[in-house]
Amino acid sequence: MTGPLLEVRDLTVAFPTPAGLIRAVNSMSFSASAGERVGIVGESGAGKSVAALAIMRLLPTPPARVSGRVTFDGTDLLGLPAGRMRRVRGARIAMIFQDPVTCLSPRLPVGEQIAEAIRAHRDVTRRAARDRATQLLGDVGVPAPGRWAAEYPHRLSGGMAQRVMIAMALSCEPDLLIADEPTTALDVTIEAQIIDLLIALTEERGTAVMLITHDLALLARFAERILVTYAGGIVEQGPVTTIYDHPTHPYTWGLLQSVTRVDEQRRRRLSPIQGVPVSARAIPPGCPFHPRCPHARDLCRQQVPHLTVHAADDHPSACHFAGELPRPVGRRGDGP
Amino acid sequence: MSQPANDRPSPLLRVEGLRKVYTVMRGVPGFRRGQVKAVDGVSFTIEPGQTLGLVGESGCGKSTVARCLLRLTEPTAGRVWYAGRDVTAFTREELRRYRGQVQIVFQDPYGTLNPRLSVEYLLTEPLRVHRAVKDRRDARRRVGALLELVGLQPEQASRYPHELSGGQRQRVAIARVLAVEPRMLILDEPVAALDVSIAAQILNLLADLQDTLGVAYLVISHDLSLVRHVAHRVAVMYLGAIMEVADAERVFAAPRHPYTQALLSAVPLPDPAAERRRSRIRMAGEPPSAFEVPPACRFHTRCFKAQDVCSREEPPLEPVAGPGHRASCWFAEPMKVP
Repeated sequence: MTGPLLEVRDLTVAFPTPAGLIRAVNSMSFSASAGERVGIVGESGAGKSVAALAIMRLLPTPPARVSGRVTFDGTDLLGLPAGRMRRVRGARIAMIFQDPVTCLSPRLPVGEQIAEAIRAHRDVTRRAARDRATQLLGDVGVPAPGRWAAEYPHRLSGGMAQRVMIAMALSCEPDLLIADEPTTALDVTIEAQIIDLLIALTEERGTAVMLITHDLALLARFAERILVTYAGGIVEQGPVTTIYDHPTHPYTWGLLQSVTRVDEQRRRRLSPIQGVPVSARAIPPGCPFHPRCPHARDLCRQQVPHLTVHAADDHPSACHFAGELPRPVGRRGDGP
Repeated sequence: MSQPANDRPSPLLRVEGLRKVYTVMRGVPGFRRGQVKAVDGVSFTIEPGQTLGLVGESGCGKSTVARCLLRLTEPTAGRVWYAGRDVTAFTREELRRYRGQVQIVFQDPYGTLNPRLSVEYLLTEPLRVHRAVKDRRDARRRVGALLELVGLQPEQASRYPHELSGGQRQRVAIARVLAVEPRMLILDEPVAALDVSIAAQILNLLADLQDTLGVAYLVISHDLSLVRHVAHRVAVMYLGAIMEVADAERVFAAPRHPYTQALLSAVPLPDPAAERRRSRIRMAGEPPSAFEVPPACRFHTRCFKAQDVCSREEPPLEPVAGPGHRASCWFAEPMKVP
């Protein structure tokens, strides 16, 4: 394949409300190549989940107004008729969510539900689909998959249910898997297993995985490339080590300085970002981060910075002064 | 009433052999009765002005411990001593006063504040309940002081919970429990519902409050990075029992229990280079349900060190490296977790 598998250009998602148009996603552009592990990080309201739903064409339009281009393997998804989109969704792009149990029907054994997903896209017998479902459950690390395939969702733990969702997502061997906070509801040991599974997927099957999360530590383990989102836009992106070692956007620094780490000293003073994440309802003029930014100047209040590679820098950052700002002291952007 | 033997001078809170067993009807057909040992013999102490981190995965019983400490749930067995007095024998009036001294903050600031009451009313209520103010003027002054203490503006007194952000709501919840000048706070997942940048603000606030007020904390969390950040001492729970307890530095730098070691190795670090170098201890199988706690050592079904003895005899929680460090394992060896 030449070029990226998924190419998103100027994706904008707006919702009309009595108070005016709310832009949940504002001109996001990014790409993902085959087998790549892309991490999208941001706080609540950053637009990361809405962007994913827009790519999957899972947002009801209207009311949502989606514009921009989403090119997947050469096809423009946003312009695709609904019927053809259904053949892409699930078969070539799959998605998993934070709360797996609510994604499953309580009335059917999980094996049946996976078989149903297979038969929606492939012309195979019920029997063959069921066998494949059991095999998939084994692939994602479910012990005794034959027995678990016959179980109903309420009997499953959160980790087991998420494995069922992943098995279902993999059932048609998608090229791209979008995982939206897939481990947020899980315990740390189960989370580690699910992340291992997603990494194996990219390495063994060449599936591209986009992991959406608020957890910077999780992305350090998982991602090859990171997009940092704020107020509906991407504020910085680059290879994972670059973003963690040399962040140039003050928001990325702020995030890195806000996290506690299991290998640190007790009570290290955190340097959190002041204020609260902006709401899509009231995005300030100029740089959307300026009210919380310790480096904000007049220019930041007037002009929207674009995601570009600055002269003194090696990766794109949506900050007027990227590359010029003094770096925070300490290792990896942490405070002293 | 006998005093327990002290190995340290008068802890603020001492918990001995705490047990909570729930009897349940399992499944509708046949009404099979089962027992869930949510808390199965837990003991620990909390010193004045110090923080104990109680850490464990979901369903390990850590929140039930918190509820038992305040007798929001009556423990099945065991004793809780507060400042040398037996909480389990308290009268109604003593219990009311005790619940002023030991307060709890829950995870979800959305669920704990009545949406129909203003911040001022929310903060005045505990003062009235615990008879801590003389008159309305005194109450107003105290509310102002409380808001300042938790970093809120005086004009926010007239707001209602829905007008506040998640972080501000958690500040109000903290101000509310501080109103009657408690000596200890139980913080059950205090920042789990908050955004990363807001969580950091609340953690700094909690550190400042402890420094200025000398209040003790029991922090209950599944998040080891958070516990590492706040706790002086750490107790690690698994299926209703404490597996290891020690000073925080020891638990994190030289854990002795295989469960602690496996848990620590699963926690990701916000450091891609370090993550690439790390190897992980893998736990076998699925976490057992609280209905079917494995016999003998409850961790043996998932343990990478398990031997025959582990499925025959329960290891006691005993000192492994000095009196302050205890672990419940037949093979408790120190290990530097990668």
